[in-house]
Amino acid sequence: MPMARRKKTIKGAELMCRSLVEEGVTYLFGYTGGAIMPVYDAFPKFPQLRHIMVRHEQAAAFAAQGMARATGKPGVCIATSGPGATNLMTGIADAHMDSIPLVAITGQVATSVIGTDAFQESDIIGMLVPVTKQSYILDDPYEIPRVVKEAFYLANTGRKGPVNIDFPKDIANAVIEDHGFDTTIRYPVPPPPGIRREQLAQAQTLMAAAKRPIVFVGHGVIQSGAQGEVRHFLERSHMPFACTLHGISALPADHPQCLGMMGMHGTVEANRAIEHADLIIALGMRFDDRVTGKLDEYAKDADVIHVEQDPSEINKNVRATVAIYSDLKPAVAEMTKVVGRKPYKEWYAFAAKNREYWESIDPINRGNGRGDSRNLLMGSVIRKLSDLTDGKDNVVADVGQHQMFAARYYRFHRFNTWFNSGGLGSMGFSVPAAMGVKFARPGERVWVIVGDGSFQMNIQELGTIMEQRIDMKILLLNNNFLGMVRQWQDLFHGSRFVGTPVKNPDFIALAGAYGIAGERVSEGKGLEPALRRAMKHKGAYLLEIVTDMEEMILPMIPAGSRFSDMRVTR
Amino acid sequence: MKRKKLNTILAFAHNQPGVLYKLLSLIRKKRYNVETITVGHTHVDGISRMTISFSHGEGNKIEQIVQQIAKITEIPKTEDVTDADVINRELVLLKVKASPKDRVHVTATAQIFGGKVIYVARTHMIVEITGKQENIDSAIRTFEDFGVAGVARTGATVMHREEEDMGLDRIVLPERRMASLGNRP
Repeated sequence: MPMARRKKTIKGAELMCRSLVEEGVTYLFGYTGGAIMPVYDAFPKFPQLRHIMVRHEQAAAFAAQGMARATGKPGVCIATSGPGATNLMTGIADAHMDSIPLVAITGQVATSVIGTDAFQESDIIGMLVPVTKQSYILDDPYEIPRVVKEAFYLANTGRKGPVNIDFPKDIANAVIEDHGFDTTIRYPVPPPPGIRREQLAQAQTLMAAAKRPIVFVGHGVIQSGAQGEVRHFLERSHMPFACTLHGISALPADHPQCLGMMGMHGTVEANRAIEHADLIIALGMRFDDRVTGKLDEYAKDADVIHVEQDPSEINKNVRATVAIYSDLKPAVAEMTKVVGRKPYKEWYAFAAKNREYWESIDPINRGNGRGDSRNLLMGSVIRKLSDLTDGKDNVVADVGQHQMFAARYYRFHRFNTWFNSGGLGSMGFSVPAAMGVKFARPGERVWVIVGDGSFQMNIQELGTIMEQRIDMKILLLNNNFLGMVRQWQDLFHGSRFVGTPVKNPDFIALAGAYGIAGERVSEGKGLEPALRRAMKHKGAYLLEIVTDMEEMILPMIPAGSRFSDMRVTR
Repeated sequence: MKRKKLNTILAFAHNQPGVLYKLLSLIRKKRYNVETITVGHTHVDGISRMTISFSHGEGNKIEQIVQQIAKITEIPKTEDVTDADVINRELVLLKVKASPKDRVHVTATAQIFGGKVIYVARTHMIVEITGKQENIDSAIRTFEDFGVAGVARTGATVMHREEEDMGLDRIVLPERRMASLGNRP
């Protein structure tokens, strides 16, 4: 009698891993624990998946973001149920605000006890709904391949963002027959309709009439890879452009038509140009409050042509004269065909005058780049770093004054080399995100620019750096203060420095404890050789610079103020 | 009873756990106050119809909320139907105070509003009326002459007079998925 052929079976956790491999995942950043153990148990069978164990789940989400930001493909983080999952939340919310594709896999207690406040249970779907594009709870092992496929599809399609998969332990342990899984995407995302003929005609009329136009380069330009089309449009039209915080590094900073960053801490020439513009062409950006200041007074004389692939961002904050719901590449290509070239002589002269004015008062051009305390200014440190690296390195900034200085003073020459937390503004972003960037770009140099406050928000990741031998350069700008808040206290709260002075540890000794080389620079003349040593050193390097505590990032448009209220001096 | 200008949104949703939660979470985030919400099945298996009415959608906020709802994965179609060519109906159950000699008057009043009496007790009657929200409002006001002891309103539900776009091209329902795949025991 013939023996019944044994059916091939697979475990839920293995099916999860196989599905991740099929999505092309190479790195996962995570931390194990009770409910997610079955997935970890399956990792050895899938050598294509390289798991990087972090020291805190928040860092896993940021590291996955770093990977996603550098590759344009979804990053993956993984954590256990309960506290593991809730610790991911800040990083997921951050990805949601900055439209970063991320797939977060969280362990969950067994389906039989969900809802009973079981040990390490948290209603992570309930918590993550407002900050994810989609959240799944896998309550059927046969759904694993489909859900994983759809999660990656949704994270990376249309406006990108995070997706969460909650994976109960009994589903991960379930053994099921292994063949022919349904992987149909249930929610296909329709492409944007694109630029309409009458919109193109309207845009053409506005562009032909404009005497003082300005083009806004947003994060969308980087994410859609439309930098070529945008550059062509700019060079054909000869219009000046400004970047949003996330638009930086879409085009080279030294492009002759570039006015630099716009908004709260934008350059004088960009903000004055926006104030006086008669036409704004906004490409892949969302008119965030840090960009606009007081909305009713914002760019009052300007018509707005807004090109966006997320229709909910059009007419949200700023009313568009021409609202184009489209992918950037085709829309910008169409607009290039109908735009005329003008010299805009007076317009550029106006910008040049503002730039020269700022150069004449920029504190870093005086006193050898040092402040009244004789300590170095952050601005001059970043400018020196930019010069020594030709603006060609990857820069991952944290959140605070140093972030704005990095955005303003590093002259980015290469596409998509600037990474930071813009929307959520999460301190602690830089060190873990830079780990992700370094894994994505192993052959390139990666700098972390971080303050003494933010460094300590994920300082435990020095352990991951040590273990994984991650060669990244940490430039710690230490003013022993939470500088950005201090600046606001100085300007708007009568210089009452509440909760901002920081009593710091010996950072170099701390790095040393993790086997990471480093040095501290407190003298201006020591900066350049120290930067060179950091660059030359093989392996991670902590370079701590003692900076001036009274330094302010200027110009500044106070929150909710008009552009004409821009402060250029203290 | 205060009259409010209501904005009405019609949405079609994939009937999945958590969709309503997502929708309401979004509305809460935008700080809207939901006046009424009705949800029920449609003739398409797996697709539900939702009608939500809000008070005070200032300026472009109503447009914003529609755009935001449209981003919810399981909601393939949503639109602002405040001024659209739709039929808008609500059902109300009214507990009206009525002594035996009032009964005939209550019954007649119910008929004026196209309603009917569905329950009679010694001191009250229950009246059922279906109509536009404004008509329901005025019916309730009229019955206040007798005394109203209870009101149960369902909230509006709307339907387009002509063909409706349920966004079915944006969703793959189970029966349209690959047949015979999946090896569920």
